[in-house]
Amino acid sequence: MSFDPQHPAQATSAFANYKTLFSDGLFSKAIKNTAVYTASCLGIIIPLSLCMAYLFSQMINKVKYTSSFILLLPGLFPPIVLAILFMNVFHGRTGLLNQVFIMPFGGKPVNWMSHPDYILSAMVIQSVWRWTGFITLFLLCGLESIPKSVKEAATIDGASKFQIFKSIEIPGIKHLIIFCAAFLFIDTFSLFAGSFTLLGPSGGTANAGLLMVNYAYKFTRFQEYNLASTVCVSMLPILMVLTGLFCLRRRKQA
Amino acid sequence: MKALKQIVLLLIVCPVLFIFSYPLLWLVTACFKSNREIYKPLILFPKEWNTSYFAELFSGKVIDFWGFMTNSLLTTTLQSLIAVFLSASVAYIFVFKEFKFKRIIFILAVSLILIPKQIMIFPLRELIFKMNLNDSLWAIILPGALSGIGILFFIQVYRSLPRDYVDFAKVEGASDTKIFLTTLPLILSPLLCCFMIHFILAWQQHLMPLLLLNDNQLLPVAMSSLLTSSLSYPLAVLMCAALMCILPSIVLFLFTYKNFRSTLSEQVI
Repeated sequence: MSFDPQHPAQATSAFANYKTLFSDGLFSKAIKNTAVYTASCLGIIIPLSLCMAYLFSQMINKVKYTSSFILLLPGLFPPIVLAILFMNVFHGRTGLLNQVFIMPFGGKPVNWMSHPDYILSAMVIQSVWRWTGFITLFLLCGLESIPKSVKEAATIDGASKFQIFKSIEIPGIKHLIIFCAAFLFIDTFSLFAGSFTLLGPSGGTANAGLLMVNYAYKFTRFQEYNLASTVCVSMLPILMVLTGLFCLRRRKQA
Repeated sequence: MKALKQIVLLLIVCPVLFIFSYPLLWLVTACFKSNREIYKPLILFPKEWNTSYFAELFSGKVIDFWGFMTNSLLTTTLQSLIAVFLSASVAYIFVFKEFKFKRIIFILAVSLILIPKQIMIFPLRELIFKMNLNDSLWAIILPGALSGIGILFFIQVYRSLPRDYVDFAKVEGASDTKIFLTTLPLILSPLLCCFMIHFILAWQQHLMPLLLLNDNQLLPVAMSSLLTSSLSYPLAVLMCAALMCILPSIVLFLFTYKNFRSTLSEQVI
């Protein structure tokens, strides 16, 4: 479909759609935004949930599971509900984020949703809020499944808490961390609903929050489905590389 | 000493938990608030608890709430049931059967996971229009009825099942269908777990219903139109709708949380 020219009259080759896209400044902007967004989501969520999982794993059972349940609740929200909630969090003057974290320290209130510099960070915050719980639970269960005897043996040999964490627990759940990272990557990379409901179909002021899938959706408004699918196909190579890496790793393990 | 440690841990964890759960708490109380209070997100509890907003939502005057709710529940449940059944059966075949090109088909199946549905949406849309399924709920159910991650998950589950069971049953002359059906209770916990994950993810779908359905809407999408269509009703009605929108997922999750945990720690992926 992506090779079907959208405007047959002007088309010169099978790659006409790709030419249209690459000459469109928005396309590179969408790529850049997606890259920044995905990278920062991964960079924040994984360490944060690792810390949380470690803290939880030190607690007594009942408290441990209740608190990880609470942490997980945001993961159950459909994006639209998230958007409704976060309109309040990010709102210009009365927003939660401004009132709690910025204004008390003498900062100027930031309009998170309409200032081009802040839209992406607002989206990252939303994503962190949503996914940390799930990833924490995954990692927590991973930590639990490491045999206690190994840790005890290390303690007897005089290893400190941090050493145990670094050389026993992290390697023990390494495969889980990688799995979570892959899962998150795919989810954030192809995020649509989150930004669609938060910013509407336009991608925000100056397209600062435009992600790839939103970019594709933009074309559907003018019934340009071929162009839209071209955008999607151009996302494939990155995902293929990732798939390849993932499969290779699995094979090595097996 | 031990108690002290627990208390310190709690003190560290509680603020984080509070930050993470604050919006949810706020949402629950916002259902009873007047418009003015809703615009002040720092106020958690309303001055007076007004319960009339729920009645307004349920009466169906603002949106066809019950219609959308049944639509949503129907599509999500059916889709998850079919998906769980299909992925379990596919995984069964991959684990216990030998056939030609197994490796290649397996790799194809696995690559399903890593290609998000959003990418395939436009060809899918074309296909559904050709099948004349647009604007029917099947347009959402059918594409969602197969999950790559489910297949991978059940392969792991079947591998951990003692192979002797299946071999014995084969020696006794049971057919594969029969073996498959009788082993289902053995993997009940993973089945439930997979159902839950699929349900939650399917419930959150947004792009597909947006492109494929017109009148027959699902609740989450209906809400977004509610959000944009002026403010002729109190905001609290919207909050009530939002609350109802997350309720099914939360209830389901409450019931399967234990299963989910045990499955996660047993079948470390």
